Amino acid sequence: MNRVRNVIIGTVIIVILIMVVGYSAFATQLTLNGTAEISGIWDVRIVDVQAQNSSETCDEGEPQFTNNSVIFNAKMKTPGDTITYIITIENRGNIDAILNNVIFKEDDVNGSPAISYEITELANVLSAGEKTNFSVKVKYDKNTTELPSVKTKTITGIVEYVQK
Amino acid sequence: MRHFNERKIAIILLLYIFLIVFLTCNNIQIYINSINVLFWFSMCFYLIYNKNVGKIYINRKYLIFITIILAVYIILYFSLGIYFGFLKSPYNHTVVGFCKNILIEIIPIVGIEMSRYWLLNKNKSNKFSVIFITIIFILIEINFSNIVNASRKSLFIFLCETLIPIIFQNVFFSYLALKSSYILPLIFRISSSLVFIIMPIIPNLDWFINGTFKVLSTVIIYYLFKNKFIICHSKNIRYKDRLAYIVTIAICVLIVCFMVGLFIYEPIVILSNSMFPIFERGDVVIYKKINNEELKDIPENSIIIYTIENKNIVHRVVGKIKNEGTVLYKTKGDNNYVPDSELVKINQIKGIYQIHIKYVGFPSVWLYEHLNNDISAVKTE
Repeated sequence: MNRVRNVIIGTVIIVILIMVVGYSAFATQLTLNGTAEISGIWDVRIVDVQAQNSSETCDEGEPQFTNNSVIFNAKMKTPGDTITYIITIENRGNIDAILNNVIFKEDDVNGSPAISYEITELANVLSAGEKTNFSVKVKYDKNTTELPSVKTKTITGIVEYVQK
Repeated sequence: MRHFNERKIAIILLLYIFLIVFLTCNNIQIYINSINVLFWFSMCFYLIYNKNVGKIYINRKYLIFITIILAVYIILYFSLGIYFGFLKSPYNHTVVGFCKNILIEIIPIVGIEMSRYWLLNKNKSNKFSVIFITIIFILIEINFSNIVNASRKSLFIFLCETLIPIIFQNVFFSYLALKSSYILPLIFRISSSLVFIIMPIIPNLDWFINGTFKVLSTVIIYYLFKNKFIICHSKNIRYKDRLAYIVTIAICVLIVCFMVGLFIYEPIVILSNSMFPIFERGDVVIYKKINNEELKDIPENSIIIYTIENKNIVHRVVGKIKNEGTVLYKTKGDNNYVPDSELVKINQIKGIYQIHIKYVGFPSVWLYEHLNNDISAVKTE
């Protein structure tokens, strides 16, 4: 009886310590979500981000992405500059996904009015094993004649796929 | 119909695992759900009609007990969402989607628990057979697509969030199957699966909370079950048993709460020597979270913990700039020649350094370096 108890308690302590050590190492960049709870294979993720068709004076930066988030930092110098980011989403699971929600909004109302953006349409259904692309085009207004006082604009986009 | 003994059933289960692994490795996952449902449906059918597994006596006191435990488990799990937030459930909530999910989730559970019960009770006198059968059911539960082509970091997270809880739960379900019947694990598993299928939201828990919650809850439920239904001869042994479990679980829960920042103090592992000689690589710094008012008035020379591009940095405040009601802090590592290039905004600050513990963080440093070289974890730059 005592032996069984000690084995259970010892195992629990070791397991919790392993998790604590791992959590300390990874803590700052966790973006996992609850999809891990599904026992069918639900795995819709961002697999690639590429900058395309940029104007010569643009700096596309190095877009960074995780499974479920993308960060890009577009720097434009000349009015009329555009940068297009192509984002690839793949359904690596075996459950078909359907587009439930797309929200793109400007985070700050005081962002530069000279910067605008366009989003292309997303695939409504993303079947298991399929990939889809959509693009975010960032534009510096070509009619701007003076340097705007506010030079940045932060945009947050949410693309939500759910089980079909 | 041909009759199989327990050895042949075990071989069929092993062959089934190989089939699933083969399909997963060859990226033919699309058929797995259908094969899974068909296989377990056939197994249920076979066991009920040939082995009379369906005829089971249910002890009412077990039933009431497991219902209460289950209700508390589900309430506790969903309560975590109050602190960590909720996610919209990705399950389909239309009638067709609901029926499809029931089929995919519930039939395999029934098949698994019936087979486990039958196999274990045929071999309960042989300890090695019991262990071997439990291992088979652990392998059956593993989603191999998470392992194929996964990075070392993903494998580690898979180990903590999925594999370890699966091992704990399966050992417990085998214990339940041996001590009572397949009905108790069945009720437990079906109810918890149904809750996830039905609920429109699920708690947004990271792998650490998910993994620790499942492990600790399984141990607690095991203890409660054992304490209530298994007769122990000595009061003294019972008392020692209770004390050992309560103390262990309480310490583990406190450690988990401390790690995820439920308290005012939070730990952080240091990965570089920029603050040497105050503290160095491998030390653990404990910092205190501060409120909005305190954030605007951090004294110079304080050591602050702040976040830039998802990295935690622990540096000393060497200057303060007030600008149109906002405050920006200039920071520098004690071991660096120049101050940091970026000023720190108050919304980037997580807290103020309190104490540090030498060398405790070395296992995390080792893990950080060996599991994934490109992750951006805790740095002092």
